[in-house]
Amino acid sequence: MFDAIVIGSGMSGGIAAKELCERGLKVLVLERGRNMDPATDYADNIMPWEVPNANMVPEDELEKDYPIHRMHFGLTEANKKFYVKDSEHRFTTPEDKPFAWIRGYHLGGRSIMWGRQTYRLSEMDFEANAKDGHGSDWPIRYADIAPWYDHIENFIGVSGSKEGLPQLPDGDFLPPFQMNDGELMAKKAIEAKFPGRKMIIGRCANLSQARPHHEEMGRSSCHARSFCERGCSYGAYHSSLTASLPAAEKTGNLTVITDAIVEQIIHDPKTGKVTGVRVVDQNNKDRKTYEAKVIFSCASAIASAQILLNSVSEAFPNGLANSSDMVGRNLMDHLFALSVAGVFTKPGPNTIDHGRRPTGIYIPRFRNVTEPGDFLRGYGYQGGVRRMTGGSMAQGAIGEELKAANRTFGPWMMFISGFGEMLPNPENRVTLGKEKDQWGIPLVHIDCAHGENDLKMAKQAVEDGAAMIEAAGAMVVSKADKPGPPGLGIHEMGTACMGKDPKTSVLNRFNQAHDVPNLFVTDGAAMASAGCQNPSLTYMALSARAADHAAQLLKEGAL
Amino acid sequence: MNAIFDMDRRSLLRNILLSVGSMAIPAGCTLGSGPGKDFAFSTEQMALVSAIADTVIPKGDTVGALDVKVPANLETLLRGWASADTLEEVLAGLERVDAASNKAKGKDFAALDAATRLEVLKAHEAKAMKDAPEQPAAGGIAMFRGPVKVDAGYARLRGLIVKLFYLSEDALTQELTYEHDPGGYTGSVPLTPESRPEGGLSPI
Repeated sequence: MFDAIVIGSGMSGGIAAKELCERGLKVLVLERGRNMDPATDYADNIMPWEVPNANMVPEDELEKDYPIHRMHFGLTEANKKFYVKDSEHRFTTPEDKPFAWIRGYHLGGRSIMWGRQTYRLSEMDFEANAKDGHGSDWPIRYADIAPWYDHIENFIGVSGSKEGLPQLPDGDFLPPFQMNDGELMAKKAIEAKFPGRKMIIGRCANLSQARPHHEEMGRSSCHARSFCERGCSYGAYHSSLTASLPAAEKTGNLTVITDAIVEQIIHDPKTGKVTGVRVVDQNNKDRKTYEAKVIFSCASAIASAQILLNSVSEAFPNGLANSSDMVGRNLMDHLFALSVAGVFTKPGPNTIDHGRRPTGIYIPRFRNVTEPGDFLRGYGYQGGVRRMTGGSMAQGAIGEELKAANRTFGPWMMFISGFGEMLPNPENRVTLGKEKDQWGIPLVHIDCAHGENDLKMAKQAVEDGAAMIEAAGAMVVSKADKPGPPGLGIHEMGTACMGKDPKTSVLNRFNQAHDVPNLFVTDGAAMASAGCQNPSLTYMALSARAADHAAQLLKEGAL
Repeated sequence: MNAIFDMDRRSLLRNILLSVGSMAIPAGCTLGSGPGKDFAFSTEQMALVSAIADTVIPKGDTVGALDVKVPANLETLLRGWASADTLEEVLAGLERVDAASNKAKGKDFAALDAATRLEVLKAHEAKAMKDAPEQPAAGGIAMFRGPVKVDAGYARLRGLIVKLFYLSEDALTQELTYEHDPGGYTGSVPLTPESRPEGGLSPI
């Protein structure tokens, strides 16, 4: 018997395991996917001419195995091993509501391939549901989570600049990466044209300058190679695999079992508590039960909902901890692919940058902050400015002209993409289908669509993006006409939301299930609202805070 | 530099993101079963591919496509990556070059001398590489795919030749620059006549 079981070894699970282990608990982490070893599995030391198929995934493989994942720009030949095959991990949606569920099933989860953008939610975000009535009022406010944001930022290492923006709180930052001269030029022009708007360097979980405790863990400063999504042998960006799990391991309290798919969480009606989990081995399909005093579900939002919905009992006919009927509901993602690109019409500074910076720029939300919007909530932008080179410069050229054109540096160009806050809507939901997967677990049915506010926001985000690119001094050459399908932002969340009222939420202020005192959910499922900020930092902060609380309750004999 | 703004705006619109990254995912391409491990160019096709590659990227003061074995690498790539439909499309595009050559000069393309090959291919590309009148939806993910061309098969062939050239070790050290490990990031470095853009597999 363990003190705690953590379901999932990814972004949230890694932190939950670390924090629980560091408080003396014997922790079992169950990972559904295979083991991953940076020494043999990372693909960052392959030269461009060595990567098979010019880094393109074979077309037939894309069609057969990755019909959903092929929509994700990050999928390449070099890193496809980190992505799930849709052909092996099916789910269903209504025909007219596509959903792009992008996943990585292996030790470390998507924390190996994530975009590393790291932003705090603000007080405004925690108040949003209460203020406009959409979704469940967060049972916490910024002051509750701020010390945990500090804690996580210091542990994982986040580079960024302090800006003093209320809608994007500053954190404990490593030195920011520099902006290049095109970005400085654009920043100056945009901020002059739109007072109150800011263009800042992206805050990212890369060690611009490792602290001693990072180096003690074997992580070193970022070399600006931008091979992050292939795995980094320097450990220079945060991942569960190269930071959280090793920290947990160091305590001597960690056990990890891979290839173990959690099918159900077992509930004892006599005590009202969960007692353990039933697991299916992904290879031989053997079933086994593990027991613990506390269970943390960190399987990722949709998977945690799937486990809870599949854990049906007399006490919980609608799924474990689901007296509210909110499990699976309020699925959100960020509005995504709201991209605009432009070319600067006047020559800019005749410079270039050196190194491949692992972050772009960020434009924090201004709609319904410093400027009104014709919709609720708002959006931020990620993107960058760079010199045009290569293919764009050589259009229409052939022979020596082509070679010469490819050697030149063209005008500066700018591209930005809006990330917008979807409203929580209980009709956007995950349920279990009748069909089962090869392990006998019901397939997930995802029914999710952008609502009226979402679409209004998406349109304005593109218009605002175009206006900023023009203000910067560039001519707009491309604008998105609609957001990508839900899910493609890879920020799916909301399916077991926190809240003050057990009738309209699943979890209390400590991510503890209202219905089950020794069950905690700390992955994206817990999010009562989406904000427009990349959510992983919040998942990690909630995980640490909940782990601290759970350990305290255990110590007090309250669980 | 001004040539960029001579391009009609629609072409610029389509081509701009080619400098950010290259995504060879075709818009609207239907896929069938793969060509398998057995695909190889015929002798005539290999001669034609070599002649095209040598014309598009000739050896000059620096290496050309033939120096870095683009034709053989293309064959390997098509074998390992292309669907049957893509392969068919590319081979059809290949054939159309010979058709154009025979129409213009009465000879197969590989039989022409270098100067004539350049003349014929330039004329062929002026039509083949125009943006097709029908284009997929703009922006979003589609923005990174590049425009669909009038002769999609030839455009694909040519694109792969250029891509393979610029991924070779020689091109990345002589034509462009490539540092696997830059060591760190600096925002501003002055450009000199010796400066070269960076190549490699850029992430988006």
